[in-house]
Amino acid sequence: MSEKLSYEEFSKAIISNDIKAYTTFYKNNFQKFCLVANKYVKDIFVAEEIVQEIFVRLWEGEFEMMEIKSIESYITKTVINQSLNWLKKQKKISQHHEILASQNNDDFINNMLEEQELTVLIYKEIEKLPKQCQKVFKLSRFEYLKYKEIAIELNISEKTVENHISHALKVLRIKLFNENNENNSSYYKFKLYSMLIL
Amino acid sequence: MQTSANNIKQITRYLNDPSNKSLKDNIEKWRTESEVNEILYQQTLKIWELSAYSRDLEKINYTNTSHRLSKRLSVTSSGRSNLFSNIWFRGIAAAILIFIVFGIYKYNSNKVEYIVKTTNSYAIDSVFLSDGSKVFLDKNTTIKYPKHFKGNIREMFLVKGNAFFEIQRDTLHPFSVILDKSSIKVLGTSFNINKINNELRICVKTGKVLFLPPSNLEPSMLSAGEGISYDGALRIERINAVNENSDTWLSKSLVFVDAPLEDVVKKLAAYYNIEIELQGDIKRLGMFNAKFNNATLKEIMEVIEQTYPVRLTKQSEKYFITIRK
Repeated sequence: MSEKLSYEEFSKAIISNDIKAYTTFYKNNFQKFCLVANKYVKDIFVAEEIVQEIFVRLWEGEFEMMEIKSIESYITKTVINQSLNWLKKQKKISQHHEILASQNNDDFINNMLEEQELTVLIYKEIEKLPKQCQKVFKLSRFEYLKYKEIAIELNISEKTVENHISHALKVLRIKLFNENNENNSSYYKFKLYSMLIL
Repeated sequence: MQTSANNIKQITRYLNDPSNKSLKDNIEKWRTESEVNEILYQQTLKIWELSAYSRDLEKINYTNTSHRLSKRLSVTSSGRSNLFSNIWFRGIAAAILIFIVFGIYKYNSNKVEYIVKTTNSYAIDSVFLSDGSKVFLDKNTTIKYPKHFKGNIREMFLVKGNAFFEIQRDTLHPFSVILDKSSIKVLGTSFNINKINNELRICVKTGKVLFLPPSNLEPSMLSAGEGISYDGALRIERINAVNENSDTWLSKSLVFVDAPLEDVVKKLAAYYNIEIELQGDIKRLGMFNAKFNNATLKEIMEVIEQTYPVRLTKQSEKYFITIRK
């Protein structure tokens, strides 16, 4: 199965009633779609429900799916629309969202998708960090604790906390930018600006 | 010289307390020292920001969410009617066609088949690449591209000539155009490349392009409106892609933004294939701003006459633009 969500394989799974294959697509891709929804609804559980609902309805054939160049763009657009619908129902729709809604063009969709893909990538790499390092890093980035507070919480020195954070940043940087040595300048410059485009 | 580890430490401390003036000043100073430093900083900052943003993903239980979906699908599957319902019929027909094509493609996927396309000196042409990208070829141009992009690689060659590229965006698979020993990498963008012998002129219209010359030279990042001129050996020069109008051969439109009149004149001479001489005190003149679509030389000259205090004359086949005192 290809890493990128392809229309052929996606519709094949639906037509042949292959729940396992379809669920695998979901498993491999739901996180980035949830993050897209989350940008609008600001509640990850609502986001998850929206994405699930869309996958169920696609399975049931409720949306017309013809001549789609990119199934990912299609799903992203649907996620955004459903998120806006949810906001409308909650009477939570604000001017800001209206503005976001009007930017529903290809560039916007692509950028949105790219940013979420990178976020999911970072998340997966954080999960692979050594146990204590991961703990410290999550307390900093997920719980917004300062190093001093983390040191007190875990009963370690502030210096140790700094070391863990530095290590995490170093590892994540290498993983994300594929950089094995400082001389690999052109490739990592490329990766950098592709991230900075977002 | 500070080691990389030391640098990350500095950044780590700064990110924890960005309001601390001495930490901030240190970092700002270090960043301006070299491009490598700046890149290191930007990469780390990006990771710092996006990792905080990823925290919500922790709340979703990976296994639970998939099980829930599976359950819901099996409920609807059993109740799902006739596969050939109205909505799906056309979808299926299309899908079957795709599978047939897909099947044939899979069979041939081991070797990469290249297509060579050449234009003569009479006409321009264009080709679609297998990812939906489009390449427009000027006269006397040769390109070489795979019939189907294989795996993760999107790569093609500009052998010689002048071409305009409109590349489909694909984050995970950057697109490369190889130009003998140099190459450029793009994500999704449009740009013009002119390659005669070993000399290159690259102008970016939209998006971003990374120019990679042979290894002894520094790469250049070009954004929309930027360009470079490379002599094939050691000299790389930045050029203003907007006023260069490198794709006028295709678009038939000429754009000038804050362009000095001498540059405008040079461009007109080259494009309309005539000789124009600018006489007088050019330093006094302001910049030229205009956009012409399918304009004749006469129309453009008229605008110049209206914009500047000049007198236009023509002797035999040569034009003279004289600045009035």
